[in-house]
Amino acid sequence: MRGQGTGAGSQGAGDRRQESGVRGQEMGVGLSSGAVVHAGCGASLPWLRHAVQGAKPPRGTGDEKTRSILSGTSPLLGEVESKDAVIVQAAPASFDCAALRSGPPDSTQDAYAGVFRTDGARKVRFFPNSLRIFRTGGSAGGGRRSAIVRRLIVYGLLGAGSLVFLLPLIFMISSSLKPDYQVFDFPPRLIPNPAAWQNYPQALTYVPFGRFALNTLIIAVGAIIGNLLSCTLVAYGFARLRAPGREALFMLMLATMMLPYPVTMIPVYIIFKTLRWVNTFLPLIAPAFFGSPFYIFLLRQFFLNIPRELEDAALIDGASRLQILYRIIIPLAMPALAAIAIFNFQGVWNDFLPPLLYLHDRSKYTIALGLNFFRSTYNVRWGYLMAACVVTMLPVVVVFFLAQKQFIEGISVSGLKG
Amino acid sequence: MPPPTRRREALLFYLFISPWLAGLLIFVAGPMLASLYLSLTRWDLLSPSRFIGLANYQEMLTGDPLFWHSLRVTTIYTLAYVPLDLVGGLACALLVNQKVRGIGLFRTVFYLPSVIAGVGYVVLWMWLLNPQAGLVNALLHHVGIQGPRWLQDPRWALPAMIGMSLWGVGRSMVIFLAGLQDIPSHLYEAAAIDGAGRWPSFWRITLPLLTPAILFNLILGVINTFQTFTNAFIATDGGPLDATLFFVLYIYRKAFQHFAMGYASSLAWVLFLIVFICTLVIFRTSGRWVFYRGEME
Repeated sequence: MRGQGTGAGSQGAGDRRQESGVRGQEMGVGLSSGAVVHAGCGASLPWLRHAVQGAKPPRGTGDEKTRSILSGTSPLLGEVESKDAVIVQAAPASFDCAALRSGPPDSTQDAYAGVFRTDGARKVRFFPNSLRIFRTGGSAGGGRRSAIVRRLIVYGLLGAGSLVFLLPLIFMISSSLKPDYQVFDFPPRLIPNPAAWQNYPQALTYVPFGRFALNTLIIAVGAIIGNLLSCTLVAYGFARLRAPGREALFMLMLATMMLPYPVTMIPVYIIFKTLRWVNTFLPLIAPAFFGSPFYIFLLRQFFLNIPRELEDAALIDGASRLQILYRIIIPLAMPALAAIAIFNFQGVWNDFLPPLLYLHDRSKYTIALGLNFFRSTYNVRWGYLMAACVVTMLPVVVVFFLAQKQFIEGISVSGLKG
Repeated sequence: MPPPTRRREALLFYLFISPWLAGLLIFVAGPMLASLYLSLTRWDLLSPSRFIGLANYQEMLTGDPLFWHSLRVTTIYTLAYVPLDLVGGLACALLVNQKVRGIGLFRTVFYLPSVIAGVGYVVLWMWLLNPQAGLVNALLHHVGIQGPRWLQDPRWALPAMIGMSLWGVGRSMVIFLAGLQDIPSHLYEAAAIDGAGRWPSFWRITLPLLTPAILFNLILGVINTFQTFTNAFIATDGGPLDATLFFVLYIYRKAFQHFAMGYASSLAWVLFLIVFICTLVIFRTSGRWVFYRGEME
């Protein structure tokens, strides 16, 4: 086989697989893929290289095979030696494989197996893709003790962090239940006594929070419908249909994500003013029907992961792209669509500047405007204000807890490709 | 594939993306051009606009101290907040990436403040920073420190605002966490076999492979901080003594309180140019320090 062309190379690969398969069984190392050398970044193994160079493989036992016993002192595992490692040489400067273990399969010793590559049996390189470290038995009590200390430190830091993130919320709830005369006690006490439950109904009736919530919901539902309709279409176009200029347009879309809102704020305001839409919900809903770059981007990434074969069959059967979109793609993309709806809901609920520009009548206020109005009117009644804060935060927090997975995955997707 | 099919597919593509294309023209391209034109006019929405050339820009650069002041406030805020957000987000991500029991709950807790971004967030912090009875000064009192008047003190208002924004560090944390979980464990295993400790592993493996996430958070951070509005509008209304007069708040005042639409448009274009140049510079230099894993294979 040595010195032959590509045909011989593939034959050699077959040999190798066979060989190491047998060896794998013998040594109890799961090496079914052991002979397949993964490309990847190599990490040097100085201690092992040394061992191999020092070892003397008995030559001439086979035509292209060289047996070798590998051993060395691993900084992690200590003294290791292969019971019966094998180096198979296939083509001239190609790779050899070896498996290494320090003991039988059910050994209580630490062991590892891996694939190595040698150049003329001189240098051994390690392919970490194939590396797994088995820690099958207690090697040292010291390691365990340090692991416990480490875990304690981790929990300590996690606890401290949680305190920083939770304490303000706890303080908010505590304040929301304090009667007026207790709110300004200094230093503040955490548990209100007596608890002023009436803060809640009173805060919520001072200004019509129910009305504000309803307004916000109307806008949210409208915007979600608009975004789902338009973003699905646009994202499908970007994901599946080939056309000249597609990549450039996609880059342009990503670029518009970075456009600050105030840059277009004034002319867009004038458009809606000319349409006599100011002081209606329309300026806050209508733009959604033209899609939002961020949601389009999320959906496109999701669509790209749906196998094309599903559509190809339908296309051959004569289905139109729209039919494919509604019969095949959308049912599969439900999680992504749900994520977008959740994002959109959160966005509308928390949005402040656009409603501030467009909604002037108090009866049309959204929750955010209403809370700000409440703040500016009842500036010193912090008990009421905190009660209102708790209530206005509740919906997004509840939605977040119910749909946490989609939430975090959606955000992560946005970061991976950024 | 025969050309007609290809042409049909291209046509279909433009049909599918037509909502966004229309939106691009109506809500982005058109308004940007309109805003550029408006920036060359004087207009109060009522009387007809009057073309005045570059006078708005001249006024801004030479005769408007509030322009420079608001730009300074915003820049200081960005320069302080973005690095803190990156370091804090990364630290939190490393912490909630530990494989210990109950870690899911901790992740939720760390991220929770980011969910309630908005008016409620700001009002809550106004109360926490209340000089008389807020939690922050109560805790400081506990360790024997007399806390300042925070949002009511010109020297402390901006730092207070940076601090309250950092409570929402969970947003960048989630991006970093996704980046961390994307790093193949075999790299760490190989490093461990080679005898590398935690610290070298962090500098040689974790940080280089997180650079795309850092780039993302950096750009998003700069863009977002330059647009800060809600916090300043609600918590301080730019005060005290204009200490928190953020740039967008100044634009808002000029446009919707003084109805100087032309001047506000020129301010908006300056904002656009600043954000555009910052993003461009970051992208251009990113080739030197951002490392994509695809490159090494």
